[in-house]
Order: sequence, then structure tokens, then C-alpha cells
Amino acid sequence: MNWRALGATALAVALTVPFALPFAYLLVRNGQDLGGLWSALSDDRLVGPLLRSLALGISVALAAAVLGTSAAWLVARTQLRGRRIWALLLCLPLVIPSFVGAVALIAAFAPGGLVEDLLGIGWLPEVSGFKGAFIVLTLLTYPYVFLPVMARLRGLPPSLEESARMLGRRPIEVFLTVVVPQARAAIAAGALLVFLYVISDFGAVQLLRYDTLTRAIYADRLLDPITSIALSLVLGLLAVAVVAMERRSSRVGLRDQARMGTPLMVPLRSGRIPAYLFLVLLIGFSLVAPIAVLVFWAIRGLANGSSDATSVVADPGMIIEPLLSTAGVSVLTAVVALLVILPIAFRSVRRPGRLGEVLAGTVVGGFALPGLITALAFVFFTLSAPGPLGALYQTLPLLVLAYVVHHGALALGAAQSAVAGVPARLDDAARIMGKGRLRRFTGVELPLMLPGLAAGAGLVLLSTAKELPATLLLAPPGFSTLATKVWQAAELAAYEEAAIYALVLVAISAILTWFLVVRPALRSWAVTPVAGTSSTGVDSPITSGYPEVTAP
Amino acid sequence: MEKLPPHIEMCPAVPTRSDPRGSALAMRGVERVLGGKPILKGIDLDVPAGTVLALLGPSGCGKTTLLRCIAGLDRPDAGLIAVDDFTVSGPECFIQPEKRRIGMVFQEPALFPNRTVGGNVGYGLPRAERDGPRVERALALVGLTGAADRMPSTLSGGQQQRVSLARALAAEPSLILLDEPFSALDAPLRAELRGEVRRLLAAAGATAVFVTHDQEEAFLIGDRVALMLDGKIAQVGTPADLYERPASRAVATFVGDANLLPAQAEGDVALTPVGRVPLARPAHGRVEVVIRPECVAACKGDDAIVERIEYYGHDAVIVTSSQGCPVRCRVMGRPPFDTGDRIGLEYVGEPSVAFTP
Ligand SMILES: Nc1ncnc2c1ncn2[C@@H]1O[C@H](COP(=O)(O)OP(=O)(O)OP(=O)(O)O)[C@@H](O)[C@H]1O
Ligand SMILES: [Mg+2]
Repeated sequence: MNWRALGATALAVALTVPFALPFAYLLVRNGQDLGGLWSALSDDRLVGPLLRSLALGISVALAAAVLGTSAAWLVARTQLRGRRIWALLLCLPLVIPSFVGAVALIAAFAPGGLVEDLLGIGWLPEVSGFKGAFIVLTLLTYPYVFLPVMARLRGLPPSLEESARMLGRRPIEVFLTVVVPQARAAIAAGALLVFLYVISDFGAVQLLRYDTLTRAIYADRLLDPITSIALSLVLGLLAVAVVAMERRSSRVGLRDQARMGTPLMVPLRSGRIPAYLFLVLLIGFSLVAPIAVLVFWAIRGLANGSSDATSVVADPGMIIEPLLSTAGVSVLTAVVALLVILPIAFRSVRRPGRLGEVLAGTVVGGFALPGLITALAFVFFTLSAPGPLGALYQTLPLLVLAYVVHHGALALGAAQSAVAGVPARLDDAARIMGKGRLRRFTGVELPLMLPGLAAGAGLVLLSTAKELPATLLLAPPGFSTLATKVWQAAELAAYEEAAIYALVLVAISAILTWFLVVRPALRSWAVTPVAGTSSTGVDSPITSGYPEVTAP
Repeated sequence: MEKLPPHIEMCPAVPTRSDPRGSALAMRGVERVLGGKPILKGIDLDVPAGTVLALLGPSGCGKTTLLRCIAGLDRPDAGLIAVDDFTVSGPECFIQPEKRRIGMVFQEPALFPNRTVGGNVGYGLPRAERDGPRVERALALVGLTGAADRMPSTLSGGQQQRVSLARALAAEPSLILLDEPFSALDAPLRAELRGEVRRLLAAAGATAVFVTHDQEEAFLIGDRVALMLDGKIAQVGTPADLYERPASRAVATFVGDANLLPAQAEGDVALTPVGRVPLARPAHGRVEVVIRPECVAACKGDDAIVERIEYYGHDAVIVTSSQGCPVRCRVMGRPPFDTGDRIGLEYVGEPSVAFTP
């Protein structure tokens, strides 16, 4: 290894350190105060929230697995009309952040909301607690199962299902005995992602008042930091364990025998009405209903001249300012994340081996840790740190650092495949022509990698724009993003205002998702069947080193 | 007649229009358009019960498409298909594949990777018999006794294909379809399996359609051979029919090695560059006569010049030029000639066929 390679390795290692910081901090802090850790873990301040987190995570993961798998089978394997439209609509709930979903549910059943006013139902059920959290999270997360199962079904050789039909089994039996076992790895990978999403979720459980670990951690952060830090460690370990499991399970997918050909489409016959009804209801409740509720409140706010909402109209700055902050901080984060990730991607792809895996794994670990915990670790760290470090608390650099640590992994997969896509031989060719390293990089490699890198940066941008807990905890005083505006309004039950901010946020997120996730996915589906289980694609760098983020 | 939607499941069991009783499989005027291109252009075919039909044709001529129509994996745009005298596919009826009692072996083994070999073979059986003697019997038939508990991934490609054959046979279908089942295997294994499958199908008394683009394979396995060219059946008959009495020039050139020599026909004999050739069907005027290389014998004389010798070991082909026409002539062993020698040619075969060019 020459000096230059050594330098590249040192740089990659140094850049990886921040990703390990939050977790390391949790370990050290808990290690220093084992007594406090023990007392926090041994009483029911832990047990109750932990059980509730697990219960919610498991039940949502199961429900999402059933919904996502059924929807994928209907779309990929039956004689359904408008296959592509259904596929698109079924992905779209991904653009709704969990706290927006929760706001919509609460606002729908709030006095004077859509249900009471428009549908004229006087009796309003209680939507908070487990019930509400379960409904909101299931409806928003089933696409995490739908997408990989869809990809798996496309890669499955049609002759398997055809053989089963020829052997006398009805389509439903074929689904249960052939399709489900073949898609098991994809279903499991998706369900694990959902589980991770749910136990990490802060916005929905907080708004719907279901006391999971994240809610307890947040509530205790000021009054009982010792418990908060102890619970953070428990949740962090759980999340990292889930990610490790997910990574392992996605490696053992079946190899696909490549064979072109349209699979046998199952006629729906008498099942046609239930099938369409299922899809319509699923999309209706997960996508149309939340948006309708938000639109309802927004319009009502504007029409009735509710003070908050009209002031939004009277003073466009009220909407433009958080919009600009959101865009600014997200773009900044995406650029910084790319700069940090690129050397790590280079090191791990060009010199594959143990160290590269550790580096990539650490970055993914930063993503696995719930955003709330990452943010809290930085809060406690800066508050307890002496001198200049302490001054970082609630400053923009620290906020961006937390964002990069939490979302950087989303760019890693794209950056890795972009680097892998530049043949090393090109580099050799440039070297023979006597170009310096930097010239080679800017002149040869960067232009080739740019589309892939842009896609990776886009994913970081998208997630940062939707990020709630890190922004709540770390934003400089007076700095609000659309997400925090929604949050503050919802906590004050100012649904008109919350709805307006939420709609803007959802619109931005929808546009970004379309260009970054949906279009590339649809395109790759159109060309070749997507193989393997590693195609969770959306929001997930954890399934494989190379998620399917292709150049838009 | 109004066309019904494709999801009709059952239809009254009516004998086919032409009523070809005794045929396990009958097709009349089957047409299929895929991607705007006619792929099947009116297929008529009968397969008598207990016989094996080899469906031979070049790549892309529509063999798989036809097989999928028979299986119920695809629906023809026109025409009738009847199995055991019951219409399974017609303008007003379409029986789903699982109701047709047709077995199918694909090009790739298509075994369920999550089931054992026994689980695969038993998949098509009634629940009570799924791990009973029927599974063992089917496995014994393909020479895999005792493999029931293994996983498919632990078997070789040839063994996997045997399992998939056992799986199709175990369900005792009234018809079994094989779509180039050996094309993914290497040559020696293919030759071995060929013989075995022929014996197996005969022993089971099965009615089968065996698709291949390999003429040797078609001749070895088929009781009868149907040659398919460009979406149409060009000829059906025994291997000898196809080889000795091809129905068209295209059949003659596709099946085996053939000289097509210009000739003057006078009734049941034709005057060719290799002398007088008897004709099976009388013809007159300028024709082209199909002359197999092995029906031409080299003798003393000077009608032809040896241009090249293709030596294969057990036999050789002498490529000669006679009256300006290239004539291929097959001899056993090594020919006692050299390039440039002058030799005589003589027709020694059965009466041949002539086509007007
Ligand atoms: N779904 C489809 N859409 C459009 N064209 C198709 C489709 N399926 C098959 N074809 C075309 O139909 C033609 C016949 O295909 P088929 O698979 O029946 O040929 P084959 O005789 O089985 O060939 P091979 O020996 O290569 O298997 C080919 O030209 C193929 O491109
Ligand atoms: Mg074929």
C-alpha cells in the first residue's frame, strides 16, 4: 500500500467516526453510571414501554406483511386492469410522514372534523393509543413490504407457478404453496424494515399518545435523563439487532433463474369485486383519506378565516420561511452527506475487505439508530461537554451533523454502485495519459458517477425534509422547518394551520419521491424483471450494499 | 357467435366439431397472435392415445406457443383444442390449466426449491397420497429410488429434470407435454435421457407431445413427427415418412441432409446429374429431385469431380461436382479418393420425390 492509498484509508476512517458517535456515547454514558442503568432497566419504566414498542412493532409488521404481500400478488399476478397505475398508487403512502398521518387521523375525528362535519357522524371514537398508532403506521408502511415482494415476483421464473397449476392446484393454493414460500425472504426483509420504522417512530406515537420507548425517552429527557439514556441504549440495541438480521436475511435470497416471459395471470372471476375493493380501500385509507382530511381542514381554515390559517394567507412569509429553511437545510445536508460518504464508498468498493465492510456497516448503523436517539445523544453530549463543544448545542452545524449521521447511509448504496460503475480500467487509462489524481477524479470519474451520486443525495434530501425529532431537539432557536411547523400546530390542535404545512410538505416529498424512487423503479421494471430480494429500494440502504437507485 | 370473456371456467363437454374420436389430443385451426404478429397460423393436429408425437421445428417457429395453448397457459385466438374428445379450448370455452389433467415438463426443471424431491413429486397428488407409494413408484420409474428426502438443489441438472418428469407422470395425466426438456443438458447426458424417456413413455403408455428443435431427438422419441415451420404444420408422419417422402422442399431441407438436384421428369423416373432416379409420385418436366447423400454411390467413371472430402470417422461425405451441380455423396469409412479425382455417381436408393421449382 502506498502513501496515497494510506491517506485515502485514513480519510475514510476519519469520516466514518461521526457515524459511530451517538452509539458510542450511549455506551460510555451508560457504562459510567451502571447503577443508574440497572435501576432504570429493572423497574417498569422500561418494561411497559418496551413491551408496547414490541407489541406495536410486531403487530404493524405482520399487518403490513399481509397487506403488502396480497397487494403485490394482486398487481403482479392477476388479470387486473391498470396494473402500472395500481403499482404506483400503492407506493405513494411513502410520501406521507408518520406524524402527518397521525395529524390526519386526529383531525379527521376531531370535533368539527371531516367525520363529524361532512359525514354527519356525531359519535366520535377515541383514536389515540394503540389502535390509532396501529392503523396509521400500518397504512403508511405496507409499501415497504409491497415493493420488495413486487420485485421478487417479477424475478420469479413463471414456470414454477405454471407447473403448480398444471399439477392441478387452484391459483389460491399456488399462491400459498409456491409464491409465498418463494417470496418469504422478501416479505421478511420488508417486515423487518417496517418493524424498525415502527420502533423508531416518534411522531405518530407521540401525537397519538401511545407510550412506547421513543415516547418515554422523549418525555424523560429533561426530568430523568438517566432513564432516558438507559432506554435509548435498549432501543438502540434493538434497532441495530434488527438491521443486522435484515442484512443477513437479505443475503440468502434465492438465485433467480433468468427467464423472460410473462407469467401466467390468474383470472379474477368472482373474486374481481373483492380484489378491486381491497385495493380501493387500501389506497383510499392510506393515501386519499389523509390527504382529503388535510385538504378539508386547510380549505376550512382559509374560508372561515381562522386566525392561524388566514395569517398564513395574509403573510406568505409564514409559509415561505419554513419552506426555505426546509429546502436550505436539506440541500446542505445532502451535499455534506455526499462529501462525507464518497471517500467511504471509494474505500469500500475499490479495496473490498474487512475494513471496508466495517466502515459501511458503521454508516448503516447510524441509519439504524432511531433519529430521536441520534439527536438526543448529540444533545446530551454537547450539553455535558465543556467549552467550545457545548457551544454547538442547537446550532446549524450540529443539526446538519445529526442529519448526516442519521440519513447519510441513504446515499451510501447509491455512491457505492456509482463508484463500482466506474471501471477501474478507465482510471488506468487516464493514469497512462499522465493525468494527476485530482484531474483524473474530476475529469473522468466524477462525470460518470454524477447521476448515481445525485440519486443518492436526493434520497438524503427527501428524508431530511421529512425529519421531525432531530429537528425538534437540535434546531437553533427560531429555526422551523415544515415538519416542526406541522408538529407545533398539531400540538396546539390548530388543525387548519397544521394541514396547510402538512400539504406543502407532502407535495414536496411527493415530487422528490417521484423523481428519485418511483420513476427509476418503474423504468427498471419496464426493462428487466428486478431480481433478488435486495430491492426494498425506498428509504432503505440497509437491505444491501447496492439498493436499486439508478440515475434518474 | 359472441366471444365470451376469457375467464369462463367450465363449458359443456362437447366432442370436437370434426369428431376425431380416438385422438387423445386434437387441434383444429388453432391460431395465436402475440405482440401483433401471427405466431400460430392455423394448426391442425391429432395425437392418437398412447403415442408420442415429436413436434420438431426451428427456433422461434411457435412450438412453445402451441404447447402453452394445449396446456391452457395461453389462450388461442381461434380454433379448437380437444383432449380425450372434450373441448378444452374453443371460441366459447376455456378450461383452466389445473382442470385439464395435462402434465408438463419445462425446459428448466422448475422444481419447487422449498420442497423435497418427494414433496415435489407428490405436489400434484390427492392429499392422502402425497407421501405414499405413488411418489416412490414415480421416482423409481425415473431411476431415483430413495431420493425422496433430498432437496432439489442437491441434485444435478439431469436428475432435476428426471424429478420434474416424475412429478408430471405421478399425477397420471391424460396427456403429457415436454418442451425441449433436455436442451439445457450436455450432449452425452441428453443422449442418455433421450433413450430413457422413450422407454419410460412407452412403458407408461402415455400420450405425449415432445417439443424439440433437434431432428435426431425427434426421430428417436417420436412415434410420429410433426414438423412445424413458421407457425404452420408442414408435415406429420412417421420419421421415415418425413425423411423419405418429404411433403415439400422446405421439409426435405430441414429434415436431414439432402441434395436438391435439377432434373427432367418423365412419369415415374427423373433424369438427374446422378443418372436415372425412380420417383414415388409421377411428375413431368423440369423438377427438383430430393436425393439423400447416402443414396448416391461412388463408382468407377468420370461424370463427376471430387471437390472436397468431409471425413467424420465412421463415414465421410464426398462433395463432388457433376454437370455443374454440387452433389454430396455419403460413404462408410474413409473414401478411396482424393480431391480432383474423377469418379462416377450412381443412384442406389428407394424411389424419391420431386418438386416443381
Ligand atoms: N408474449 C409474446 N409477445 C410477443 N411475441 C412473442 C411472445 N411470446 C413469443 N413470441 C414470439 O413468438 C415466436 C414464437 O415463439 P415460441 O417461443 O413459440 O418459439 P419456439 O418455437 O418455442 O422457439 P424455441 O425453439 O426458441 O423455444 C417468437 O418469434 C417469439 O419472439
Ligand atoms: Mg420454445
